[in-house]
Amino acid sequence: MSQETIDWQANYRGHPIKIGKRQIGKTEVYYVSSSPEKKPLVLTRALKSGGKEFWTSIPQGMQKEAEEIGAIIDKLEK
Amino acid sequence: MCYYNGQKVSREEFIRLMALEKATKNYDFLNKGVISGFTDTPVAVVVATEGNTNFDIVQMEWGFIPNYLNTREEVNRMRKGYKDTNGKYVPGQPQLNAKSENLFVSERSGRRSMFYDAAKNRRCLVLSSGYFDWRHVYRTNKKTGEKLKTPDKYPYYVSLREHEYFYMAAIWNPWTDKETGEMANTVALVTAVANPLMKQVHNSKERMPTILSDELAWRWISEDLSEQEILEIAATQYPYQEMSACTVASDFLGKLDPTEPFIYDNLPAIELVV
Repeated sequence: MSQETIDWQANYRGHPIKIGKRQIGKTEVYYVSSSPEKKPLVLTRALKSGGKEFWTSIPQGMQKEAEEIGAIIDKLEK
Repeated sequence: MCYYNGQKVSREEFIRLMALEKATKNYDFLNKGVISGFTDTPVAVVVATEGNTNFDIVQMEWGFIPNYLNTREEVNRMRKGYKDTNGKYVPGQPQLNAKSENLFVSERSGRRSMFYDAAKNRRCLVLSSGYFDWRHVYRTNKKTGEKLKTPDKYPYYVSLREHEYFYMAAIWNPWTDKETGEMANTVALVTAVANPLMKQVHNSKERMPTILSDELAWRWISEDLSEQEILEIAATQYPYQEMSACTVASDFLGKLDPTEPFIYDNLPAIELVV
């Protein structure tokens, strides 16, 4: 899986970010990179127990960023 | 109920996300269309963590290796078959599956089963998005009207209508090669008597994997169950109304999407009049 392919470029908190969309099995995941030195942040859409969708980081620990960048992706995909 | 990144999610969703973590990190198993028991590809297995309060997803070798086998050479002989001292061929037993009826007592010998300890102490779940089975159809000889001896075999992809991933009951065994010290965690799927759908799909053996609901899956790996309870869960027949079986191309293993439906013109449809 190449993480170099970029589907979108956007701005997050005043910094440029590159976003790549990939398919793993039947799930769409998004690789978000802000710098070539940093490991990309991986995001996906998941389901809350009530059935509502939410953005999450994979692995856990970056929920705030997942929600904020997820909202940017939602707009880019519209 | 579990939490992922602070959000309340179902156990099924939690497992999906945990598996996704592995897929994006080290492994690729969610990206694999087919894992064959006859190759060395590891399978994703859900095991309870110590204290049975949580679970983890690990990789194991598919094909149960009993502890009475000492070396890889012996394992390969068991799996692939061999000629005994009289030159008679002994067919291979890859031990990919453990019949639910055989977990504690071997049907063949009537003695304690080689799965006994694993069924009692090392129950796990194999994570799956679907599996393949073959339906055997016997054509008739046009002259004699008799059934041909060799059936035509049609592969089916079987999945659950409402579940992207599901759990199959399994048991595992840690095995060590006594010559090389190689250690391997090996796993066998538990199978039950086929339900009405699988009776027609896997009509040569009329068996199916023991597919468990979220609730039963959790009980299977985390509770201290009696032998009777283990046998009852192991014999679970998943409701056929919630399953889907679709024919796929005979060379599906080499396809980009092995689950792509394929229609065989002469194949009679499955009938579900129950």
